[in-house]
Amino acid sequence: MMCFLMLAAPLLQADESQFTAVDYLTPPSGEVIEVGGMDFNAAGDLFVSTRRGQVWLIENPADPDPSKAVFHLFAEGLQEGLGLKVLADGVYVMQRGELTRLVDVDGDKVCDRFETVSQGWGLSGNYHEFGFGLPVDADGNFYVSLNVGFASPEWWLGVSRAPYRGWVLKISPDGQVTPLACGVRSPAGLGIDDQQRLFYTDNQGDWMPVCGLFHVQEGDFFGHPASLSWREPYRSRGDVVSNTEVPSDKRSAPALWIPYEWSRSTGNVESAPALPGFEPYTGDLFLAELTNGMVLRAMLEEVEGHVQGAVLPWRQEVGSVFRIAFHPSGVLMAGMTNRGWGGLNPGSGIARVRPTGKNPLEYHRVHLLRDGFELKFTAPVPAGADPVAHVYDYDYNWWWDYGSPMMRQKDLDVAGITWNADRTGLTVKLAAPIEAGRNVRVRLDGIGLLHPEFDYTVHTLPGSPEVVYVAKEVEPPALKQNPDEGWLTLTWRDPFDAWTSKGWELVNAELPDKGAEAFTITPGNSALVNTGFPASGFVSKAEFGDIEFRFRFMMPKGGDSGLYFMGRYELQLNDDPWGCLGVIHGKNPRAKGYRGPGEWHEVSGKFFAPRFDADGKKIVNARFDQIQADGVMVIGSCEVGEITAGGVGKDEVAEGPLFFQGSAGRVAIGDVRVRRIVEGEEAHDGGGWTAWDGASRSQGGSFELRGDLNLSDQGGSVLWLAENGGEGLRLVLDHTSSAEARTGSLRGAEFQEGDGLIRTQLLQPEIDFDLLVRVTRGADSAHVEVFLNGLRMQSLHTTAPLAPGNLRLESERIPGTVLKVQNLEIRSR
Amino acid sequence: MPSSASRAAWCGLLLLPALALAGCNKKDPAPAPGGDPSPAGAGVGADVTDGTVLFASYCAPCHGEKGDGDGVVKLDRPARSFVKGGFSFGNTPEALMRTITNGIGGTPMPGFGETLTENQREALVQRVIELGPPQEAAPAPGQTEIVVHDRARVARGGLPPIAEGEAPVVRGLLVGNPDGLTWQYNADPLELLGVRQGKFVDRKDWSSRGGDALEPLGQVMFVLPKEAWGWVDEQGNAAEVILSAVSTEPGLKLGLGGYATEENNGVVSYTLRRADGELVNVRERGGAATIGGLTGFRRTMELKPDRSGLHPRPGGRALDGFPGTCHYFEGKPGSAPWIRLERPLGIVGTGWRIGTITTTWICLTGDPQTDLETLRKELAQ
Repeated sequence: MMCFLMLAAPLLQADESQFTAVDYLTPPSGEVIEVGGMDFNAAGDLFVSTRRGQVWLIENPADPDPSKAVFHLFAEGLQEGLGLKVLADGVYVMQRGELTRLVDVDGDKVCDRFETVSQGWGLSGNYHEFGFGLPVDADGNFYVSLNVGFASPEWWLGVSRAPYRGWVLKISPDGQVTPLACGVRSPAGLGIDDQQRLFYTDNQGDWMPVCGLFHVQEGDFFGHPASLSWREPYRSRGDVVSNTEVPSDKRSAPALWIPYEWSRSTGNVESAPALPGFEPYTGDLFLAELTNGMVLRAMLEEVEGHVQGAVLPWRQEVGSVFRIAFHPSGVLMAGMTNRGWGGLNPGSGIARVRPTGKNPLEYHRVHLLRDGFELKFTAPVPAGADPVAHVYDYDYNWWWDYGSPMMRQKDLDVAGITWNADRTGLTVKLAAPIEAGRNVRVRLDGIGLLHPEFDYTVHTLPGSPEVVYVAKEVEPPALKQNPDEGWLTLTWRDPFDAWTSKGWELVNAELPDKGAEAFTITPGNSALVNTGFPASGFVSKAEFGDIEFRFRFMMPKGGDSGLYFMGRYELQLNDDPWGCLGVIHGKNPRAKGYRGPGEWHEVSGKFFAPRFDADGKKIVNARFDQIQADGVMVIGSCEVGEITAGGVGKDEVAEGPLFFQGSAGRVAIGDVRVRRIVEGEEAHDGGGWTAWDGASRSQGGSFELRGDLNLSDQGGSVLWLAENGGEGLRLVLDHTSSAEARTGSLRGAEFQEGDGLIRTQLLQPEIDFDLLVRVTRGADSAHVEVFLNGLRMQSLHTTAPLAPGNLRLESERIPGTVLKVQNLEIRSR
Repeated sequence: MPSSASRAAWCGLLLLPALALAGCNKKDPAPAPGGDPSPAGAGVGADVTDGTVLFASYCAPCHGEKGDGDGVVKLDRPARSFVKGGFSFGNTPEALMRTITNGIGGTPMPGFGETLTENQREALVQRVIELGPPQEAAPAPGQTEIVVHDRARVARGGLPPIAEGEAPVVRGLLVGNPDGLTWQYNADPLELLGVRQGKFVDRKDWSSRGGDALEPLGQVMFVLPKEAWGWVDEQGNAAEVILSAVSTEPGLKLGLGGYATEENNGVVSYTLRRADGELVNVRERGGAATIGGLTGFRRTMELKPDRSGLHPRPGGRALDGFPGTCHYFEGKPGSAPWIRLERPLGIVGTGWRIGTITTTWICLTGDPQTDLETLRKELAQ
């Protein structure tokens, strides 16, 4: 009986936790350590750089008792630290804009001096321009990788607005920068293996079908075209290379395309050292994986000069792993972060993955044959185990659209399986030769492998040096109509600015216990919550008539709120599947769109204001149309002729504010957007418009001005409405990430301080928008109205008459601004 | 960004110190405008160590007898209310001692380091703490505000425009010193943009996905005109900063060497690389400065090696009649007209060291029509 059990145990599907234990260090109270870089000093102390620009020195990081770890705040104030390396002369940190040497001069475990090694790459101010690192080669050169920015027409489409965005760079110890390879998209991790080969990892998106592991050699181009603007001959010609057209430069193929089911955000790469518990994997590459929260393992080989191989999970259920590092005592440290990136919990801190001393049966080597695979295991497999192989292959599309599903998948027939003499390996022969340019997935059941499935990326075959791409060039999808055009984002950047409210906070809200009647609130910015319950309504300052709308909401158990359109007509939001998303005094939802407490719902639809005749008598009721929750239609069309109590008005009118109820129960809302509905041709507006080129012209009296504008990311322009000697009334056009006065703001001494200031980013950069400004001059004051995309966002009276002045468009208020203007017209009134 | 209205207030305020503080200055007992009833501190001997008495004499004219900011001297920007806990630089005894000793550059608050004994200043510290609310707790760990206590702090990140019409900065550097001044730089090209006073910074980039600009919390005292700073070599070539990796430009290249904390104060290092490859290291330290009734800041620049022949680029309007060199610059939005003095002034730590040149530039707010006379008098003494 005992003998049977000993034989049988390895044949069962084993649990990873028998072989590797995971525990977590406890950071100092209140600190959130969002790991961006990790390395050890000679004493085995752990240095960690974070997305918050801190560097922590952690003593005893690998002690079996996690409470023995001692945290010291070594440095702070850096601009993100997404890579760290400890060398004899200091701690090197890759900041967003600088490679820096940190020196503790007096040995008190606090950095005293930050020395700039290099700032030799560009930043445009786009939030997505992360800089990653930081392996060092035998000659002391550093390697860093630079993210492209994200921009329209799709928010995830990469752009390279400054030198070397989308490149891997080599930086010499004295700070000289050598651009090494380009075509990278979101290169979150780097690593040098035990053969001194440099690798980087990329994240799926445009021109990246899935995450990949790339062997980097000087001159490589990995396929994302945005970075080509900094490569010859494009650079000399000043070309801005299209990010939606197939580039003509020759691609370098990756070592691995990593299946989406295993990796959605790959982090750094570490070559496994010969440490206790890791001996079977020595020389393999371990990969951090953030979204799925695990550590992956890659077994590479060189086939006809091309580095390629197999990948598979190694340890799952760790957390949002962004960085890994092997502690010399034989513990794999895993640093976590997930802010804004969305990964498995925990989303910050340091995990420790420690072999338990019990060894699993794993693949040891995977070797590609022309018609199958030669496989080695980490231990002999007992006689009697009967292997069954399942094999299929597939490839990917290569295009500007976001990622690619597995394409052209087909099963491959297995011709036979042959054990080697000592049962430490076997050969799987397929019925037909393997094709290059495919990923092959192999699953071997029946012999008790802890991870029975691997995925091999075949770019070359033994005996055939030609590289055949797995990511196939295909007809790209049509460029989608810009989904953001025409919308105003009312809660972007400063979410309170476009609203009046009391008792609402911007936080992170979660409902870990679905039965809880209040959210678990932590600092953050993902939800607007009436934490001061009962709170006031959350009421837009602007008033609207017919609008298309989008917003998100989440309820705790018993949650109760409502969105009153025009402050009057309520769309019910409550914790009741058959009441939520109904129209009060109208209809109940016709389908269940509400999925319960703790779930975020995205609601969209249209609202039409009531219509009145010339005498002010209502002739058409207000109407809701096509209300959807997460794509489920809950209200087709619903007229409503009665005002809900508790809003902002008692009479039916033509325009009113949006009003989220804050006093009935708890609710979390977010991402509120509106777009004016234009149905059919616009009514004749009286005409009298004349074209204007934006040049300075003297302008008195009352006038209107309109145009179609498009302002670059980080751009700033000014439309002077009444300029006198460089001062006067003006409209701000500003898409910088840091401006206080954003597009639509009115500035000038004519207004009280604070009036006319818009802190909300109502418009997204590089997306066309309509502007209409109406200036009405009176005897002792003036009235200025600003319409963005047809919605009136400003209506201000000056406290003094508005003197005549110059009308002038200053398009490049901030150097480098690109302001595109079409159909600029003006008329006197 | 300040509106035109608040700019007007700034100009008024920044012209005021020389006059208003005359009443607080032992050398010039002329009455202040606004009817200061008695020169502050007059008649109080060095033996008086009662904080209440000292406060009534030295502080109450501006801060009010109750410390509520409602003194008889009316300032454009009211004096701090201690009752409300309005401390510019924190309310630790050490911070208050520094403020009382050194004053607050760019504001009407003078330093009493020469006027009062250490015992007297300590008594004032205790009195001011008594007048305030219960001590505020420091921001909890993980909060986004960075507070400067007794050691300088630096912050790297994007920065909003320092004044309306200025560009935002993608590589910013803030150095917050314990004296309450924050030095705001563009780190690429390296350039001092201005000086702030008050709290340090809110790390706005700790929210969302990152990449948001920092929010400096101090009030802008000085916005430096572009033409005010820079370096030239013997041929008059101006320093240019170009991405080091892509530059093929000849001439002088200016870069960021680093930033450090030394003796609890911030130091910023510049590297000036000349066309022949010679590297000159420049170390800058800043601090508040008061000369007579004029307040401002000083930049002490250490050049190594000294054979560089580099010197500050002339700028602004040259003004004669000074022991050093004096340049006058028009005010910028959010700032006031100001004066740059260069060595040798002989009144602050300037001079030669072996292998190193130390140059101190002092920037004082003022208007040449009124304040230069005051300054000449001060410097003549």
